[in-house]
Amino acid sequence: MQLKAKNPVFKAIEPYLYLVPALVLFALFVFWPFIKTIQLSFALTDPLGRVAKYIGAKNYIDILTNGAFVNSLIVTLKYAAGRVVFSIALGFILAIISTEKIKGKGFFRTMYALPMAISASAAAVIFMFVFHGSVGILNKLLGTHIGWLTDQRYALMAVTIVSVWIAIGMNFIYLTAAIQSVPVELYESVSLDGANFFQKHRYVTIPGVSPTLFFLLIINVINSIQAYAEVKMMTSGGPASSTNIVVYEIYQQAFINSRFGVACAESVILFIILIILTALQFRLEKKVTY
Amino acid sequence: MKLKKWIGLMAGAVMAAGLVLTAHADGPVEITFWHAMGGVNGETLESIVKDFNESQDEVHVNTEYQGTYDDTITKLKASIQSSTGFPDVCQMYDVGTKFMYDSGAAIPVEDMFETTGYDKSTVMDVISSYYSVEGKQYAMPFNVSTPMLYYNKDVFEAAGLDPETPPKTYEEILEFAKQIVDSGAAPVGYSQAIYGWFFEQQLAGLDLCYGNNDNGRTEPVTAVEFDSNGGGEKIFQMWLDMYKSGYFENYGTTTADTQTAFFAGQVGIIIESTAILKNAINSSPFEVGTGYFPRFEGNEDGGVIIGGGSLWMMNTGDEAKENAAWKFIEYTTQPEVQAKWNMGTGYFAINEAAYDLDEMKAYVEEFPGFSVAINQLKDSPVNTYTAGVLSGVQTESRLIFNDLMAQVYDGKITPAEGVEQLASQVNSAIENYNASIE
Repeated sequence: MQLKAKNPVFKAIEPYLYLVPALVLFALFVFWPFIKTIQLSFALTDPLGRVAKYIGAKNYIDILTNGAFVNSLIVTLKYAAGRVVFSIALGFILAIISTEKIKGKGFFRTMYALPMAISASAAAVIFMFVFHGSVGILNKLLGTHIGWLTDQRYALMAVTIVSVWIAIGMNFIYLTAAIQSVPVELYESVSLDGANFFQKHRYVTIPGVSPTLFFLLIINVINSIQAYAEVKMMTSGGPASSTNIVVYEIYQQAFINSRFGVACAESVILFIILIILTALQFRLEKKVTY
Repeated sequence: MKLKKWIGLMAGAVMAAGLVLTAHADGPVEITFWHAMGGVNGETLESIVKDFNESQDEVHVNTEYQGTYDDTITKLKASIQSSTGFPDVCQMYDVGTKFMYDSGAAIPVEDMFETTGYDKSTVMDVISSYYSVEGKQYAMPFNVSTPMLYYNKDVFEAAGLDPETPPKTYEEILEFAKQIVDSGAAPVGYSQAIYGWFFEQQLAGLDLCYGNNDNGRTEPVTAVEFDSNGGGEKIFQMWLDMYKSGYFENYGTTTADTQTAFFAGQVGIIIESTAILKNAINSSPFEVGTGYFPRFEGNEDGGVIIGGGSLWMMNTGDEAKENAAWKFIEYTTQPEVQAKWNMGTGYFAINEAAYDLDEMKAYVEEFPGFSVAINQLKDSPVNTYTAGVLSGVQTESRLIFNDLMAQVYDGKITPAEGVEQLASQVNSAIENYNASIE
């Protein structure tokens, strides 16, 4: 049977019809809330989140001038930098060690990947005991008397350590897989050239796994900026806002203070920052070897 | 008859717009009860609901644990906004009172008093006054607590202190704490969490108001008063002095961390809610002593504000369910139920008759800590200070307090600056709130 020639009009719109289901879902769950967020960011909202009146850019001016939001952005940057750098670096080191020919490799690999299986909240609760000023094991081991979660100098570091501990697992797994797919011939070749352990990894492993490193960088940055559970559980943003990361700040404004308008304005700014960050990172992609 | 009942129910369901119809014509009326009680307290609550369900066959209560108080109010807001999944009875913390009142989503319990012949005096005045707006009682207090002093009797003995005499004032606490640490009985003498609630309590103890318009009881609060009446600075200064004394340890804003240290015998004296009394007795390997919430010298007679939570009857538009909800709420105020609740948790019995029951008397004799808590409440005068502030932004105010108190401890700002910043931030929150509900 011969196919009928299609109506040219139908032919033109046909591809779009296939996109409709996905677009409807996106529109409903992504675009619509997004437009709502922008709309609410210009409004004063009542405790139920309904618009009381429109107040122009006042929410934006308030959050950019009153310090709390700007502080939360700075805290987030510090937190994200620490978490991304250490969780990727440590994951990478562990991955290299566990691809060496050592006994009990499988055991170590399982151990290193295990934190991934623990939810951030559960880990946070356990670490709250570890960090406790009087009954925590950390102070006992170090012989110190530090309020890890109650002293402004240490709280952010303590929260970051827990986050790194949780994030290492995933980075470790991805990097182990990537290292194993680096062609063996390359290693043989550099060995013949007389490369030592560090040179081997510097000139073969790192370029070899660079696509994975790039992927992990983007994922880790996004995850860090969206982090929430550790702070909610361990410090509630305190002491004195020193761990008040941006998503927790937004949560507080919206759900504790019932200032949905302010929270929406903060979300819009966070969105802009994430777009800029992601664009910057994609510039790095040129350095990646595929 | 059966048909008529069905029609009535259907009409109710339509009015409730989107509510799932769970009641049957011949079965009991099913109602949903949201609560925020976990752990030991949650178990006791479940058992009370079970007793109620078994005691009659007209109403069946389904409990749904919603997490913390903050989680509960967040979910309730969401369900009011979308008008789905509305509970029939909702437990709400003390500082959610103004929100519930302003939202209009609840039916004042006092509306049910007349038709059902309920005696308002069943609940102690000092308690119901907290949940009254312009003289009308809106919610039924359920889990009522005040802060009090907890101390470790073993540590007191080891330090050469009388284990039956708790300190009454901050000055005495400092003295006792010094002796505890110096004698080596415990590494830390005294601790209290950074918690805005304690600040409100201390203001009441000084016979001062937190907010203007009689703590918002005559008209909505428009500004705070603790800055101009001097109370704020006095309290900040005292707590900073404690902090700097070297006998005090700050475990931050997570109250559980202070409890953990106390239960582990690391701290001699703490202040905490009466609600943890049962848990404290269960968790501590030593004998727990209790005393009145500390005061300033010269203000020993100040009262405490009731905290904790209450039960709200939600306006579902379904009369059968509302009546069922009231029936359950009424049940919770009975002396036997309140006695069970008190013994199982540490929250007060809101009905004084509970304390005349033999089982309760025997229990108090065994655990005298319970009588300290109730006596403290009975000794509290009923006035605008102990009624507590009625404000729509109190949750936020407490968070602002947490932030500033930590900075005062750290020496970043002085107590005077702390109070000034607290006042200005809370005032702007109040202004914002009032503008949004006009």
